Amino acid sequence: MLEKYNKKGGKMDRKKFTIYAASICAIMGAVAGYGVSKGNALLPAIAFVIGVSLIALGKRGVKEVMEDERTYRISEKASRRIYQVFVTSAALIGTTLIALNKHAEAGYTLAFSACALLVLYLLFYSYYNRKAL
Amino acid sequence: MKTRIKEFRARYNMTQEELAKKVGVRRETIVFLEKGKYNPSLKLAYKVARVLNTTIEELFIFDEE
Repeated sequence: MLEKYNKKGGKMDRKKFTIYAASICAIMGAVAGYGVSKGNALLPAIAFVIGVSLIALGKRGVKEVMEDERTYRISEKASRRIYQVFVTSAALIGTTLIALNKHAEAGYTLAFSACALLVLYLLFYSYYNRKAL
Repeated sequence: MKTRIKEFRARYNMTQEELAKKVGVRRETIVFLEKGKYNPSLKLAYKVARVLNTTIEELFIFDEE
């Protein structure tokens, strides 16, 4: 339906898309909250899938350029920084908690999260290393 | 890196928005390019040069520092 609307020439600009995405997020939040309050786990999941699909469909119909090489480069830098900060702090805090034997479970969770992230990084690095960029 | 994009754009009476649309980037990217705060990819540099009927060498002045 959205694509049909877009083909008719009713394309959104960036501002309209922001309002559209924010409205969908608000509805998703409300539905998820209602689902949680009623003890229904399926409702938030369905709301999430529908919401994300609607946002993705809406994004296709935006006439302006939403992302370009500069935004990709900024994302790359931000992701790298997040990775470095998270892995370092999670490993440090995790091992400290384990060593002190205080909240050891949280410590193991943090340490394993750091390890999982390292493994994922290595996997993606080797994948993109082979792929033409 | 310094650029002469603003100068060439003025020559063709082109706005930042128009140039951005022609090369397929956001207007902010053109702003940062003109300020010399963003080093473009070879592909983007080529596209901008082509739209402004010039060469990459004419448009971008490489500063060693």
